[in-house]
Amino acid sequence: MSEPLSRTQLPAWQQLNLLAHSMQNLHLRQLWTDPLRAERFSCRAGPLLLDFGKQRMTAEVLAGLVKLADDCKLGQAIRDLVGGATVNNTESRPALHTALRLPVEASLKVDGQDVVPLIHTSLNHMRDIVGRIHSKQWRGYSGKAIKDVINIGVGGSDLGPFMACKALGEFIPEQGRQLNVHFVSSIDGTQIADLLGNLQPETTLFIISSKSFTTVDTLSNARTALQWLLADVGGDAELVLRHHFIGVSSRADRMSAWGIPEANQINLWEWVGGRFSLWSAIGLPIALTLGMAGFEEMLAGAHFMDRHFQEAEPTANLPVLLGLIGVWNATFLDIRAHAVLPYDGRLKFFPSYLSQLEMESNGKSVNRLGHSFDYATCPVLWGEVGPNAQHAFYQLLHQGTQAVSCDFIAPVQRYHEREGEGSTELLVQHRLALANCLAQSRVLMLGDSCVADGENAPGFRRYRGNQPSSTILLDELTPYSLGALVALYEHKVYVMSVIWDINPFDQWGVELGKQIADTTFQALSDGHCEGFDGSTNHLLAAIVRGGEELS
Amino acid sequence: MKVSIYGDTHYAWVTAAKLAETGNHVVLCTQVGEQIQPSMKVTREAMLAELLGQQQASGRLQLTCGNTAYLHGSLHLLAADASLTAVEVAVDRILEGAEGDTFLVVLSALPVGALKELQDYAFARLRTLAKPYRVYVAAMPLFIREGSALADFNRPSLFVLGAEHEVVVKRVLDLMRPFVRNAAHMMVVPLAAAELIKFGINAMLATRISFMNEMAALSERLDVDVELVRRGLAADPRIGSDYLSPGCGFGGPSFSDELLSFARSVKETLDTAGLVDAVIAINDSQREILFRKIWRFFRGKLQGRTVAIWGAAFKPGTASIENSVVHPLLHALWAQDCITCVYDPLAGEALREQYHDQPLLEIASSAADAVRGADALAIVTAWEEFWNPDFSQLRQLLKRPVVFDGRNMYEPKQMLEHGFRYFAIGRGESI
Repeated sequence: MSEPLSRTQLPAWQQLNLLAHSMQNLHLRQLWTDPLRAERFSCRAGPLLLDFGKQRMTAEVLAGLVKLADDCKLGQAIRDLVGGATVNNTESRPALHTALRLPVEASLKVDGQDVVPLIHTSLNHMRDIVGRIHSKQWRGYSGKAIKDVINIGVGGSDLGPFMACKALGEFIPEQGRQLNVHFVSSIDGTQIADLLGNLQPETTLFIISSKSFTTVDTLSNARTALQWLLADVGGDAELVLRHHFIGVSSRADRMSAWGIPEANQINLWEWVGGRFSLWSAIGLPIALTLGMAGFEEMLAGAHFMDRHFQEAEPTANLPVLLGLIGVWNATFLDIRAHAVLPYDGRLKFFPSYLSQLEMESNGKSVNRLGHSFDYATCPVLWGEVGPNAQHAFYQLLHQGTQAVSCDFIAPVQRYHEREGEGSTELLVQHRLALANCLAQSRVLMLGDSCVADGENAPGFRRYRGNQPSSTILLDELTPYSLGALVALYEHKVYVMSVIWDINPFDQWGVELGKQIADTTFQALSDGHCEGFDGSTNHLLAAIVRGGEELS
Repeated sequence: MKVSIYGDTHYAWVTAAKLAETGNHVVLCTQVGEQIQPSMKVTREAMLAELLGQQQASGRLQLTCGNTAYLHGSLHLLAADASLTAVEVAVDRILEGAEGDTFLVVLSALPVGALKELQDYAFARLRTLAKPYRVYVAAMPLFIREGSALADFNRPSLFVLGAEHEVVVKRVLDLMRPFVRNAAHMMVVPLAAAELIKFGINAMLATRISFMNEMAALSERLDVDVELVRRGLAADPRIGSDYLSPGCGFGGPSFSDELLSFARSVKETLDTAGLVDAVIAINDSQREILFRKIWRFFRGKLQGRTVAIWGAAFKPGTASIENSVVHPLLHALWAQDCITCVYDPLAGEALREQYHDQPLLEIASSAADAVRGADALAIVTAWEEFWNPDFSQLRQLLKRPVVFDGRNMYEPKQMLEHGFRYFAIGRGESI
């Protein structure tokens, strides 16, 4: 059997390259000759509307991208993903975040075992824990009810739950109002030191979230937490671990070795990727914030998107469209930066969540067979709440030398159920945010041609425009719509990985640094500052010397 | 006098019985509706059932629902445990039936300011109905204690009437003459002042208790017997000895809803969290203190253990378990899969009824039965019969000789001599 064609050899790829070349001198505003463009380039799924009329996209390009997807066997790849095939080839396992969202009556066999009952057993374990904490019957060592929960985790065990908790703060049910959920991730101890100074050990519960239960960042914070409690109790470790520590991991053996009693362990499975894990027990902080019902709403929203992803035609399929647009911009139009701009303060942490999801998944330069390729893949992704970013980096978007693609995200409705003082003013504020969202994407597209006589302004007041963007409107921000939005981006990432022939489920790029940090740590501890490269030797010496002078 | 009383509360029943006893023709309307289905257990107040029986037999007391009460006469006593809106609904009906000047006397504890609102509402209603009569609103807060309510009604230590018109003052004083003449203090004050007096007394008493509980916590940490502290404080004539006993928290109807309502009023009116908030917070924590001591004693391992509980009523002398400390204790123990065996001289049935589907609850028929084979004993209510139990029998019946006393009923030294581990509030072993 002959080796399959590399991506660049595919006719559709070459065709798209030619199209991109021919569009080089075409400005976005020149694309609006088709009166039906707005309708043709927008698509709805459930609570989400995707509008991509402001992309440097033509019907021909879209057809070419769909053909490329077809040549890359995207349909089969989607079936492989949700069906439990070994899509993570470098680690020989499936990536079954979609299974985490399956309803209890569903069934999915992986290696002959139905995983749905396992998943729902784990959900029930979460439900029990959430119920006990919310009803104030989970007690600390002194018998007082838990008031503060600190989630210790990093990366996927932090970003997703943190983002969702911050986004859905107004959906906290009555019984969750008196509980404070905190997040600690950084290895340097800044966050945990701040928190521990303000909390009571007897009413604080820690969730140690680590898929492997070896992550040094997490375990070092966990050790600090344990010592803090032991100092308060007077050393009874068994008592403290039984009432103040919950472990979430795929490695029960390591949780047990650390001292977490079996009843406080919630298991994950190898086939849950870290950055796709907020739907599993890693989402416990979300369930503690929203209540189990709210968490299940999120799962339902994501499951809706999973069905849509599997069932909708490519041209009416939100994740497929978003993924193809991403590939078109990054690879064919050579746009190396992508900004995510929510016009809703609640989504403040959505961009940093996405920066992990996209860059850790697709920030790669070899294909599934390990061969280097010569096309650009994942762009640098960053973002910020849009209206705030307008006062920060929008200058570069409008007048810099970089081409940047953007995703604008906004809810249509907000504050509509609010009554009483200030409600009218808040409605006006929301309308202002929406107006800014539309205005910015319009100026990015059209430049100064959106005002009369704009071309005659002096150079420093000119706006080039031609920066492509998509706009995603949510009917309103709810646990369900956020679930759908997150799943939309997860699948977008997968679509891009299929076109680029990347395994999006591993992250070997982050391994070597950890390994080198171990030897460097040893050197710092021993005070031996030699044997590294010149720069590192020099810096080590400065640190060791600095420490000696101060002590 | 013809009197209509509305409500299915302790206040309503006691007032109905006492007013009928002094010769009035009383109609008690427990609820608006077609059927009379009172839910207040009159047996929870000693001798009340007997008195009610006598008054019904004499024909001076009649139980009805709805219209008979509205049309009975012009004097209406509102004693329902209800919101202002619900009271307004009753007032609507009364005014619709009015055939002369009407007197509305409020016994219920409504939020501060509600009486003025009710008065304005009644005026407006009467105008809408275009009736050529007057309506008067008065407040008659009762200071009767469950367990001794009939005696308190007879000889009130304080009789307060909130009213703003001579006519209604005269009318209410006529009605209450047999009792007012026995009162140690009598005051006629504006409506809002009556409200504040009622809430203020409650809040002050609650404050004393929470303060003493804070002293108890401190005593425990400093290894001081709080009983000595209590006696010292009580000896100061400016302080006195009432409501100065630390314990496992207060409960009962007036110490819950009324206090919370007062705290809300303070917050809304003064725009600040007041002292009462702290009083309530200390009490909320205190209501779990027995559980915390038990929890610490067993190092958080309560699953499958049995805890005997003496007392369930919110205070001795009543069968009422309304807002009793026993509830948070039971729920906390059940949440740990701990079996509970409760004995209360009067309130056992009420407890069984409320938690009939709780497999971890057993109701014992005697104090001795409750402790048989239990891992520990917890005392919630200071019933007379618990003061001097047969300690050697108690020791034998308990699986472990350990007592958690929420009412400081025993002497720690004596308990030690009897061979008990003894944990009380601010005295005994600290844990």
